[in-house]
Amino acid sequence: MVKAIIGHPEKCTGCRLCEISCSLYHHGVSNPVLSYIQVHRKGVTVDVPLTCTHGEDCGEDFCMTVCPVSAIDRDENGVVKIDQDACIGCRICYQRCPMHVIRMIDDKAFKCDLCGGDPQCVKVCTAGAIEFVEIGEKEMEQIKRTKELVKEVF
Amino acid sequence: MPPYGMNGRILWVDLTRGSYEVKEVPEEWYEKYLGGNGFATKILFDLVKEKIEAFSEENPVVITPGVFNGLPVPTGGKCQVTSISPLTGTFSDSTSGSPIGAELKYAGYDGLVILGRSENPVYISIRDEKVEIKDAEDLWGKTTHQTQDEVKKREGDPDTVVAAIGPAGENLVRFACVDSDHRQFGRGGLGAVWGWKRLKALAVRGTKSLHLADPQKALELLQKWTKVMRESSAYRDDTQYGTGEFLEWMNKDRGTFPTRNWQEGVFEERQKIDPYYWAPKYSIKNKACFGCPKPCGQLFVIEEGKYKGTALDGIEYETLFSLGSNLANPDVEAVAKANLLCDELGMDTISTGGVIGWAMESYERGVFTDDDTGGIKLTFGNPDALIEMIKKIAYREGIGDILAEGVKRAAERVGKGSEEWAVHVKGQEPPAYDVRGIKGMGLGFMVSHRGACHLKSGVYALELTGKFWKFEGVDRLSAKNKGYEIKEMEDFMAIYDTLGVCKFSRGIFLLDNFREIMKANLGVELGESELLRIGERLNNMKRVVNLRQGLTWKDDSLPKRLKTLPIPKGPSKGAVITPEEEEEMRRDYYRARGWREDGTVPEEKLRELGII
Repeated sequence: MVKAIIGHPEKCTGCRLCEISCSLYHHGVSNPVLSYIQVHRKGVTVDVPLTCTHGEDCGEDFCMTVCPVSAIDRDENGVVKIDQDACIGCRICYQRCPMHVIRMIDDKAFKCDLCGGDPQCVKVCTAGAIEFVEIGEKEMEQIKRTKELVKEVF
Repeated sequence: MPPYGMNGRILWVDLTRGSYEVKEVPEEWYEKYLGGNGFATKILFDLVKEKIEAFSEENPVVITPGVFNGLPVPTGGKCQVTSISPLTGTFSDSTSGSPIGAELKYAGYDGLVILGRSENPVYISIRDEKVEIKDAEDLWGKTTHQTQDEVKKREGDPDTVVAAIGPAGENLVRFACVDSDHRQFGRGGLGAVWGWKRLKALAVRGTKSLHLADPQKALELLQKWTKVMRESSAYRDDTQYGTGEFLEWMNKDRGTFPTRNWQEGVFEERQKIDPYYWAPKYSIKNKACFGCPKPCGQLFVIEEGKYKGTALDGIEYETLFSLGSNLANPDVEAVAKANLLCDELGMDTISTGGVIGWAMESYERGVFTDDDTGGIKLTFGNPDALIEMIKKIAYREGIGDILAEGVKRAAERVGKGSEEWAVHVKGQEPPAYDVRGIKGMGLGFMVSHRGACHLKSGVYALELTGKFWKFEGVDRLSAKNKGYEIKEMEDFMAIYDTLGVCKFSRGIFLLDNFREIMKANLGVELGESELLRIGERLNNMKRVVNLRQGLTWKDDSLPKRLKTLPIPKGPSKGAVITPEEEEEMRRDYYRARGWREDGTVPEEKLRELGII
């Protein structure tokens, strides 16, 4: 079973400490734009944490499938990762990602790699709005619900 | 070179010329003023050399992110809008947890100064280096929230953070506010200054990185302090019930919850406005300020009934008083609706409730007739009247035109003895602490640089519980020895304001706790005494600005009601601040500050603090 991070908009408070943690851990700076998890807010009622589902419910937009040079693959733990050396910066994965969580930095694509199995974002979420979990039926429902909200926000 | 975590640049916008300029922050500013509120203080100190009008081209509107905004510091997301207030004529800095401060940091600025006046309604758009002043003619008249939604669409990025005024600001209501992401820079009427300048909104989008001195350590500290906050006793109180958590205690244990235009200190019918009642019923989830892991914000939603569809980030403790107990209104749904209206129209809920409370008492005493109110029964406990009045005030209709002036000017204008029950300090209606039974807080109200305010000194908890930080055995019913207490707490809180840390973390971060955080994030090490020195410097500079604005020792005083009407019932029955106590506390405070007996600041003091 795939293990990934799923978001719970119904609990998310919009504090965005997850974004700061991610950018700090992976890029050594505080910059939400570089974070692989993003919280989007709309009005007062909507806070949607968007996370990489590592292939679950990505359908034909799955980055691993759409990459023209096969620079994206699963590692031995099932984590979907981008090989920056192979990446040609075509931005197809960035444009297709249904969760909008691929980042382009200096013409290379970057994405969530689950921090080697101990996700930093989950550590600082006190609201229980992001969960590192095996994606089963219940989690798939949550992912689908989140994608509906994505349509509202963008 | 700016410290790590800061940008070293302040954006200056001239609305008269329609131009802007980016200026480097002078090197010495970091050491002397730190940043954030400290920069705003220095800017006003430099620009306001003699008395200016709030509604003028030379009145600067300064928007500053707290030093910690955008950095991995939990609860470090507070930012300020600062200007000369049209309500008090004083230096007035209003704090909010809106993400706009952090966004300004990410855009590459440590502050934004707006001068002049636009000929037509505009909004300022900041996207990193790209600064534009855009036409907002067709946004004029829209609510704060409609404006924010529309501006986000126009900017083409849903993650743009917007601050906006509503009709109240446009109509120069003297206590109009600025709303940003459903949080408010509430007090002091800064929304009216924006309105006078024809500044409808500010849109910010930042995509730059903030570089830290020790990123790894900073991340560790984020995790450490987030865990401390998660495990603190405050976590449950803040998240489950919000800022009103202690409302019952304020009534039952202390009897210092102002009620019915400060006629009383206990609100008998408080059950339904108590968050212990309404939070489980109406609160859907928490809403957080930027960077806060223990959010007090409640997403309050009314799903059926008269106010169906009401959804807001609230109801805060202050508003449970101002639109609730102060008006003897126990109807929590009406309070929520009224709160939302204030947010949408862009008005401070505290001042709004303060002036309506005065109006209700005036009506009950026959000073206002049904002709004056346009047929509205302006009686205590009438929620329909409350809602109608809010609209009338925002649009300056009928009696609303008088009330929009704030309680001080309204009472002066109306006369008929109504000044007797006009409760304000320097023109600002006080927040929910009945200082007759919290005397040190009374001093805090008297001397706060922006008029009656509980946050500038933040001594309410210390006074009500008897201890905090280095203070112990504090007696709320005594007026003795309060000068040093209020002085030190004001300096402490000036640092909180400048760093941009939420005051609900005061039980978690004493000033020495900031040392390791500042070292890892900024590469700067400062301990408690150095920080207090900076706080003292800033408070003296604010005082100088106020003296230039014409304030005298007479303005450091309490309204008549709080000196002549003892609290009639409850645990603080009989409590009042006598004129003698008022004078004693004022003298004590001036002494502690090293000021003259007339409240002016000697040159030696300014030199000692490096201000001149």
